[in-house]
Amino acid sequence: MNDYPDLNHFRQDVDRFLREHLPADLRQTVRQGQQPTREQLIRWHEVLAAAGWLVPHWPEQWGGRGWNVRQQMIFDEAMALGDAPELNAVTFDMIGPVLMRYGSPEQQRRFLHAIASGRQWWCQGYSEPNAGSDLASLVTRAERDGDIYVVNGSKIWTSYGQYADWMFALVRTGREGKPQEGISFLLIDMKSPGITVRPIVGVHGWVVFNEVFFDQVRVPVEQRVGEENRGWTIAKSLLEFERLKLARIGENKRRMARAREVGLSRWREGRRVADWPWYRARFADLQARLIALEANTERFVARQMAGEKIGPEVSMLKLRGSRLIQLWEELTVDALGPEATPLSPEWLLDQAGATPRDALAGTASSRRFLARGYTIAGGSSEIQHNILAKQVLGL
Amino acid sequence: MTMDIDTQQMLVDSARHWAGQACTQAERRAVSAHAVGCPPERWRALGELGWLGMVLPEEDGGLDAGLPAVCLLTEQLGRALLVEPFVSSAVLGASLLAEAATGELRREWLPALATGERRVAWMAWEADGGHALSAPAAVATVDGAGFRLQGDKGLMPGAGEADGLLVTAHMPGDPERLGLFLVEAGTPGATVDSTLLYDGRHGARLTMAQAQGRLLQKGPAAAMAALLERALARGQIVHCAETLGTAQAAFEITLEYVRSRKQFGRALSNNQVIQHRLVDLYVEQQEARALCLATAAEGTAERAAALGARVSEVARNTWGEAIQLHGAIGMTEEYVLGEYVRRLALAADLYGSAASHLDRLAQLSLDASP
Repeated sequence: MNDYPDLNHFRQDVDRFLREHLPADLRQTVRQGQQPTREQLIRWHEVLAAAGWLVPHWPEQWGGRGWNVRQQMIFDEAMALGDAPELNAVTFDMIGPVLMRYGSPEQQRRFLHAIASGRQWWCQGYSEPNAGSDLASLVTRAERDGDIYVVNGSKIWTSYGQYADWMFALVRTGREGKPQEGISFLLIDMKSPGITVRPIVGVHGWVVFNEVFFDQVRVPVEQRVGEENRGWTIAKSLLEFERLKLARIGENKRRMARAREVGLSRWREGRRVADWPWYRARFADLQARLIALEANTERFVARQMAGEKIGPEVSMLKLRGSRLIQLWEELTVDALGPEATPLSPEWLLDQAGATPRDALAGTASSRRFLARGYTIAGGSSEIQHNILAKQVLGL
Repeated sequence: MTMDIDTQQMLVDSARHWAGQACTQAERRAVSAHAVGCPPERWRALGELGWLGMVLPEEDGGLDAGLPAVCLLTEQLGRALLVEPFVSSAVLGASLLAEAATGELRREWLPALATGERRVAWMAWEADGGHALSAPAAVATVDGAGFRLQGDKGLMPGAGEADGLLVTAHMPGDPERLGLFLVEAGTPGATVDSTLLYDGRHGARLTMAQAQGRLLQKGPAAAMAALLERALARGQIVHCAETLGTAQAAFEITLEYVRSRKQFGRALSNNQVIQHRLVDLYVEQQEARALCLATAAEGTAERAAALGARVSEVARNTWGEAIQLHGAIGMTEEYVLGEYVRRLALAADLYGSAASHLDRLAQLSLDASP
């Protein structure tokens, strides 16, 4: 269903909505590159949910609007350029669709409406100290005790685990056969006794990562999604959701706008940065890459709109989009020069009462480090290369 | 105006079929050996296929197929390493003449272009290789009811033995106004200096010493430059399609080679370092191809500049990586890759270097008032 036949009109509506309803404090937090608090983000989720725009890509049955992919992409781009925060993909793009496809009717009733309300935050318990890209070597185990699984072990690099109410986790329930065969998919209440969350401060100064420890954590069997020892199929299916979004066109355009603003507003040795040949050549090179990425993304959008399968070739969008974000951040830091070097961690983490310095310069260094996550999370660039080599080029 | 998908597919199939027979390595070498790299009977054969009228209006005997269809056709010609100056004459030259010619001259020339009886080239570059569309070095003087032209034009593929050459010059006594002229083959004072290019094609320079020219259009420099830029953009987009066709073919040859070549007891393609480099090349090509078709369907100045920059880079990366992944054999003239390498190396800069396209994009993005 497309509730906006005229997509230009739609874009204008989203822009106006952002001007009127994005809370000023959150806009400032995002614009300055500070880390939003859970409270700020939940408040924003509620505003979006009230407008019907929190999970518009979900089917109407679960509180969505059944938007097609083109409309979603326009929406995402408007959000990024309007200084709205990136929405938590784990919650809205991953566990929601997983439950729709694999969850029991009871699980769907219990969680989907809560997620669509914007008040429930999820994190993903996949990586472990010795299981990163090689996820199937995970060792956190769940042992049956009647109607209960007892979970022991730990997860690491759990993004926004400190904000999460729930975790979906891959745990080992069997040791027979191939490593992939003994894995189950559990939904774990983060308030369960025996869970300890240890935040890990990144080089960017944000707390994105966490280490999560499980000590005799009791999880009811009805919180397992799918069959026992069949969790790998579900984990893999997650890779098929929202692949087009991973081009991150909006996030790239947001960074292009910032790099441009820095270039036009800063001076070096009596000359505007945007007039230095090195800056011009790099800016235009990245812009040309972005224009090409956008045209390539549109090819997949058209395919999906026509009801065709988009296939493994879509990995190229993540490969290019994630790298390009890093290149924009590098250009911005270089354009700022010494302005980008001071460190003020308290200002990064605590926006309440902090005196904003220069919104563009203050967190440029932090953002350059944050951007490194894009080529690691969700299938590293090396994994994307492998997928393209094997499944597209047949090597 | 635009062809439907099925008709486009038929066009692609017929181009592939034709190239399989008429663009073999032996044929290509024979065409290269021709005095100007364009034997007239072969050119007329392209006319019979309907390809020379692709950019011409239907009322002038053309097909008016739309740029996306022209790009799909030309991509196949690029794959086949066509030697004839299809982009230069049948797209760049023909579309400018179609835009500028009126009256009797139009009736005389356009249907003949579509059949291949006549061929034009637009001497778009200055003698120093620059693309100064609004400030050519050549000047026109009045001669009775007509004009005489003085000045030089730079190397353009396909200009040798063309029946008509399109040139710009400043109008008499008024440096602010430009004229677009047609200089017919054999005009006294017009010297066409043909040369074999590095990739087996031919190009020519033009020297005009009081050569007669027929005025097609005149106007203020800015308005004329806009007309010329539109025509140049069409040529550039189709040139990119041709280049990407050549690049894809070079990629496929390389892919096949690393699969069959064994070292240390296994195929080269079993090495992850080789696989990832091939993926990078493939992804770049596919992105550029998507951009090319998008620009053909809906061109903007930003897209055209981005396309030029990306295709220059793809061309350069493709020939460089193709040689490296082949090893020494990739550097030989006798192995088939050599022809692709040469074509790509020239194509990267033919319609402006990556640097010049990036300059243009930077102007559009950083110098325009927001």
